[in-house]
Amino acid sequence: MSSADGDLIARIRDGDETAMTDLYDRHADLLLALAYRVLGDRADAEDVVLEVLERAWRDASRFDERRGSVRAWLVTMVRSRALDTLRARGRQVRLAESAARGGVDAGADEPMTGDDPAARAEWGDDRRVVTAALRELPPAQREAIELAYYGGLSQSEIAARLGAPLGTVKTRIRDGMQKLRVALHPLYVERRA
Amino acid sequence: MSDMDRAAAYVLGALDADEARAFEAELARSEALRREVDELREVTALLALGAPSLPRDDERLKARLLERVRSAPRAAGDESRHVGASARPESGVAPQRDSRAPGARAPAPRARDAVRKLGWALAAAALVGVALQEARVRHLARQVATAEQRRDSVAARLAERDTTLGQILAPSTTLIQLTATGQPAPGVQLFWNAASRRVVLHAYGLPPAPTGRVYQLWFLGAGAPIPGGTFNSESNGSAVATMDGPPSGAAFTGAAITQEPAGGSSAPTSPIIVAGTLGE
Repeated sequence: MSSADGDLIARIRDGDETAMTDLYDRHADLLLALAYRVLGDRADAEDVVLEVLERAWRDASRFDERRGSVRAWLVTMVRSRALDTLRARGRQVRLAESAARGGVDAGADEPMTGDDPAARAEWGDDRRVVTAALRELPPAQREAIELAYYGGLSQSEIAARLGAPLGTVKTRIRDGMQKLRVALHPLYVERRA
Repeated sequence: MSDMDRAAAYVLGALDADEARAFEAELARSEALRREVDELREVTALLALGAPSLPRDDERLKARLLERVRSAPRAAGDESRHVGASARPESGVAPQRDSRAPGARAPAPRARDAVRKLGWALAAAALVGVALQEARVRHLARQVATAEQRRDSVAARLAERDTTLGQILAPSTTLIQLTATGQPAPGVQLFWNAASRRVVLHAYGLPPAPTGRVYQLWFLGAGAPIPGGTFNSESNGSAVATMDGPPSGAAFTGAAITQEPAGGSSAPTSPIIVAGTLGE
């Protein structure tokens, strides 16, 4: 875990409200981008992100840095919450299509990170690495991963949508994720422990 | 596919419901698998950077955030309150194991707040509302008590295939009996780039070689094994290494890993640990 995030969690546990705006500055760009990509609606995306940040405030005492980074914690909650909202709306199909079409490029080089310059520099670099790694994936692997990631589709649903055998979809997801893991390994290893 | 192979789909929330349940049961038994999931969760978090940024009004959002924070109840390590309410499996995506189901946890504290705020001087209709709220609080309290009893009998719970992940992985029960069973077999993936003749090796579930020993990659073909690079795994059993492929002109149809003295060997001196053939 980056020490900046570790300090923030410690302050949040102490009840320091200003730590919450710092947490916002470090993570809001990423979280809002993700929620918006899933939901396609700005107000809904903001609601999801604020709800998750509030939850981080309430549950900071239970965050366990041995299990992962603050970023992974927040992203997982936002994605989960956004997909729940999406399913509740029954708009899964349409948005899954837009996720598959949308690709990874638009605006990706211009992170609108908040007021934390260190976060801006650090995550601007990360964004370039992630974008490049996604671009280098075979398109079929990327498509399967994006349908799951942004559209919340299961492997069976992806197979049905693409008219591909289930086994093929499983292999694409496994192989694609393993490639991403190798490509992104330096980004999460150096930030932890 | 092995459970290790399924881990990526699990973290993406892409396993079908029955597959996800089976995977979570295995997850409860295997610390190595939990580490794999934790690591893949970091990869998954980074993927959010693939979504384009959008402009936003930071001042307004921060003001809303502070407003929510000031009226939010704090957890303060009160774990038991949440056990009963976090039972719903959620898109196969467990945040950290003790922080599931956003939203599902809110009712208990909010109901208590509502009871407190309503006070005494309300009309009869409102008092009916209070009674309902209190009934809701009592109901939740019973759920919590039930969940706590369940949490106390780890073995019994593990036998229940339909027990949810949130319960299986409740913080206080974490590793008591779960690490005793065997580790999954190690796995190694090679990403062979024929153009650059470089290999990226990724291993998991591979215990670190003891002091003075390393793992070595071998390229297998018609003749004697061709020595490849050496590496060692981290304490969590994973390794990522980039190394040269065989000399150009040397054909190979598969690869294998052995354990060798530090510095590597020119021919294998120990049994093959894992082996595979090129191109699946």
